[in-house]
Amino acid sequence: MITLLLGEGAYHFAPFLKPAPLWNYWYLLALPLCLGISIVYKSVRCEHMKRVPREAASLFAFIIVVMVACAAAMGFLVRFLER
Amino acid sequence: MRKLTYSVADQRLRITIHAFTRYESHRHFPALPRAATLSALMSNGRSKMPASIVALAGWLLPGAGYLLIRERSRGLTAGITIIALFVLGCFIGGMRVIDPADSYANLYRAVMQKPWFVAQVLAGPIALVSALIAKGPSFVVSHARVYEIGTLYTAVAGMLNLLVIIDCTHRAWREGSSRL
Repeated sequence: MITLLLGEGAYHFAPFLKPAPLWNYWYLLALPLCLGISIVYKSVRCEHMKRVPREAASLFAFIIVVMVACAAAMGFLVRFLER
Repeated sequence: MRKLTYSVADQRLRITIHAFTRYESHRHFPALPRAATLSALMSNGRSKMPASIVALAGWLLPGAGYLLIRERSRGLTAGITIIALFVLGCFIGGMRVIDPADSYANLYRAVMQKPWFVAQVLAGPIALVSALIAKGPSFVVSHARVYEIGTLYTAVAGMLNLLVIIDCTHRAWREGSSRL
């Protein structure tokens, strides 16, 4: 199913036996990781669980924005040094 | 004191239950410290559980430590998220991302050889079972980014579980010490 969706026809994917054919989309795999970190961290920190979804969403957005900003800054720095 | 009366269908038997509030139970039965303690425990909905048991349960099953101290939603949220991250890591990089050292006779050397496994094993027995299963010949070792990301997912799951274990142990210890 995943193989068909991703168009990796030549690779016979077997879940958990072989790695998933996600090498062209590796940068998107940071999203579920950041979401998981946000949820667990806010579950630990918040005194009331009702606040967790909102706080976790804001932390998730903050992490992504900062990571993108850092990546952009590093990219500009590398291009500047290459001149 | 509230008096609740229940009647059965044929009206021949009447059951009367005296329901006391917590304050009234202390006033009417001052010589029953155990009943009073039980009442106090039940009134705030928490259990007195040794911190070491809570920590061990938290390692055995992510989030179980919170369940033992009656933090049900917190335990389910953290536990399901940690297990999902671990399983997702195994899915992305294959089960061989759980890669223990060849020998643990020299612990320092084993840790230096496979440092990520230390973080992965913090996720609980699920990591040890995965490591045993992944030794099978049909499991393929992944490379490059997919392997790195799979390792990262499983290691982060373990470290988040360590955070959860520390927090639920601290909460259990705080509750236990507040009742002394």
